[in-house]
Amino acid sequence: MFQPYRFSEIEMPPTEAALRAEVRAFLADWKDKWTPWEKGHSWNGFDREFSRAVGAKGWIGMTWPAEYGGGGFSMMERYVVIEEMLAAGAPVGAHWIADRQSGPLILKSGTDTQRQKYLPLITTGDASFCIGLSEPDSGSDLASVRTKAEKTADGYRINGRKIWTTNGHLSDYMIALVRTEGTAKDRHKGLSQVIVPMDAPGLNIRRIQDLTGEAHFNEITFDNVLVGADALIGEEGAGWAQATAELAFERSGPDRYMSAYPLFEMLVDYSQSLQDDRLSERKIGALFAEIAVLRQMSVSIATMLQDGILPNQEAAVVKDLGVTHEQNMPEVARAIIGGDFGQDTEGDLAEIQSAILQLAPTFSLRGGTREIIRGIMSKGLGL
Amino acid sequence: MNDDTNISRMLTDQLSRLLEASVDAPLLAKIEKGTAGSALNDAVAELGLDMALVPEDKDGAGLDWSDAAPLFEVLGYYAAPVDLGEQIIAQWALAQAGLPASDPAPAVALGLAKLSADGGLSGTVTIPWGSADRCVLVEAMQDDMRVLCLLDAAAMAASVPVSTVGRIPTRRLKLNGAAVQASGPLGAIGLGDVSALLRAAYIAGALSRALELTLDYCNTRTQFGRTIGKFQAVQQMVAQLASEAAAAKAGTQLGMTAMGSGNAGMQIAIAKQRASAAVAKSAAIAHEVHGAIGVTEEHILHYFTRRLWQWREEAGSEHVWAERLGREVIARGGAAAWPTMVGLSAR
Ligand SMILES: Cc1cc2nc3c(=O)[nH]c(=O)nc-3n(C[C@H](O)[C@H](O)[C@H](O)COP(=O)(O)OP(=O)(O)OC[C@H]3O[C@@H](n4cnc5c(N)ncnc54)[C@H](O)[C@@H]3O)c2cc1C
Repeated sequence: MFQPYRFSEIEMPPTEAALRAEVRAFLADWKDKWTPWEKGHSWNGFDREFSRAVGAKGWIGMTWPAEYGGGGFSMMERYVVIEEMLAAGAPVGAHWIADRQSGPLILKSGTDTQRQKYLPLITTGDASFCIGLSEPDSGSDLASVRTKAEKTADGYRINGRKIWTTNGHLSDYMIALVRTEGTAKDRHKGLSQVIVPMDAPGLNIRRIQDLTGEAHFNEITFDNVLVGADALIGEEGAGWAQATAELAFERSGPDRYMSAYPLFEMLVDYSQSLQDDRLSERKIGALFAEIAVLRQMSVSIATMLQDGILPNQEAAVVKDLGVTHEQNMPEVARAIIGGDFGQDTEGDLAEIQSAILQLAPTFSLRGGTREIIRGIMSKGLGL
Repeated sequence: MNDDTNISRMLTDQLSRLLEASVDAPLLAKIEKGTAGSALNDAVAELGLDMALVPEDKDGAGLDWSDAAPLFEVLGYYAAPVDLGEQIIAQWALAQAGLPASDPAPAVALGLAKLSADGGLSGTVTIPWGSADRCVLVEAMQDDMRVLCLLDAAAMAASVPVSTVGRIPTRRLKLNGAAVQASGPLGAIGLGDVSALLRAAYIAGALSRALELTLDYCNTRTQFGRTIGKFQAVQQMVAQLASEAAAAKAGTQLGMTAMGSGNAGMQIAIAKQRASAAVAKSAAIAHEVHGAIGVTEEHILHYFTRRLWQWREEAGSEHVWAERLGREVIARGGAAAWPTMVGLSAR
């Protein structure tokens, strides 16, 4: 039988129930502080105070070794914590990127000095990272990046521009993909990853307002920014391989299908008030099944990752289906509620709806566009 | 890997080899016309797989549902030219209800009948693979208790053939107080539930075949000097088909695993809902990519797409299951939805 994808049996950790209870108790103290608009922002929301509290619980860098401030938890235990946070619509943005990718990259490819310097700060919620991949002329075609890091006597001089940098204006560090050799024509060759402090002289941050009226992302200009040789992560020239390895971690997590979950929860309560409304029953049931299956795939991938398998193709499936699910949620809300709903943004439901509706277009852009993901899938299927 | 998983793999391989060697479009055509010989049925019966889910102390193989799942998927992958899946759930249900295994296994009726105090059945049921010389299992409510009823072949004399999109030989039976040969109580999971779970697995298997056929065609059909799989528009469609097939499979896995751990009602609902929901888009894409040749009688694709359209309706469509699931989720309320969700796969 033709089986292009593997989804191994889920193995939740024995500590699951206790850990969930602890996270829920922790979140109960915070939940009421968040407006529906904020819950609609989920992992985009940036709240340093919240992240420090999460860090104090030991829930950032959970899987990292204790010597770097980690908790020695399993990947599945980390999964439990983050899905509980996303289900609550918690503003995890101040530690999210470092916990998900910057920290693991430093742990895997960084020097011991770099690990000592950054990882403990990340785990306490005191160091926020942003991602410096995209440039004005390099979006999906990431290998064409031009930002240059020239060798100096004791490090690098960086010139160029990064863009769409989420929360760059609030972050402490950026991990930037830069060209240490050659030109944009050399593509994947000559790319490296460097850590740049966001307060480095010559680094200029211009905030970019988006259609929600807020300014989450930024344009970052590098004008002769000097960094030491110790800014380099891993090998010079290995930047592409490092940046694209383990994409499965980034593409299959609960953040790929739970951005709209807080709206779902409110829709369930709304439907309860309708009493035996068959349309809402059908819509809620279909959404519930969709989420359950996405979660089944996502947790199954996490189980495989924990076992050392890298299911990049399966992760692409989760992202493809997950973002489509998230984007569809506000449309389902309109169908269930009907009436004048959506004509204004007053009231809890309309407020969260307006947040998710306006953020939804970005769901299938960030982390690789829908078309790029499907291209990766079709290649994986042999086309 | 445990022993059961090894056994399951061995049995699945045996079944695959047999079906691979015997099932092709001409055979499927004969089966749909009701003119096929019983050779394949006999060969399948020889494997003794109908007892896969019956406990070992009742002379079954004692497999878990998740270990048996690949058997069901393989049947879907080959467009199920035999009702082995139905036979497996029939024997399982008999054992559940405390009734002896039946040789050969009875057909399985779709639909819920009513059992009156005097032992007569009423209601109308539909019986895929039913025939006038075969016993049939019917699920019925006796007051608020779920019971499994075995009807002997004589009861089938009143049945009439009914035409379906899947074109599997199917009969409809109006139960005008039909006498029950044997009956026994069913637990929380009834025959209708496992029929739905079986269809979910069939759908997952058939979708993976539809995907495979589509990929093969992409790599062989040439237009504008290139194989059509080189066109990005085609690639984007195929990726969506692959995603839907993966979702059907993952949902089925959720349902099958839950069968091993207590009440699987909600997981079965999810499995059948998601699998049925995957059919519309997937079948449409498979046909779009195949062009005109894909809708011809000779081409094998329609055996899969028609069965997909059939199986998505049988034992409850995505809409039927969504409504039941939604009613339950709404009754529990928004705050309970998340704990319910993660509870689906809790150990
Ligand atoms: C909310 C948000 C936050 C972001 N945060 C960050 C961040 O923190 N750091 C960072 O580095 N980047 C970030 N990004 C950038 C994101 O990674 C890019 O938007 C994405 O990679 C797409 O690039 P682009 O926007 O330049 O679109 P383009 O690449 O120009 O694409 C435009 C359209 O063309 C299509 N297209 C392009 N190439 C192909 C192809 N080969 N085949 C088929 N179709 C194609 C795309 O699918 C898309 O539909 C963020 C984006 C958003 C929306």
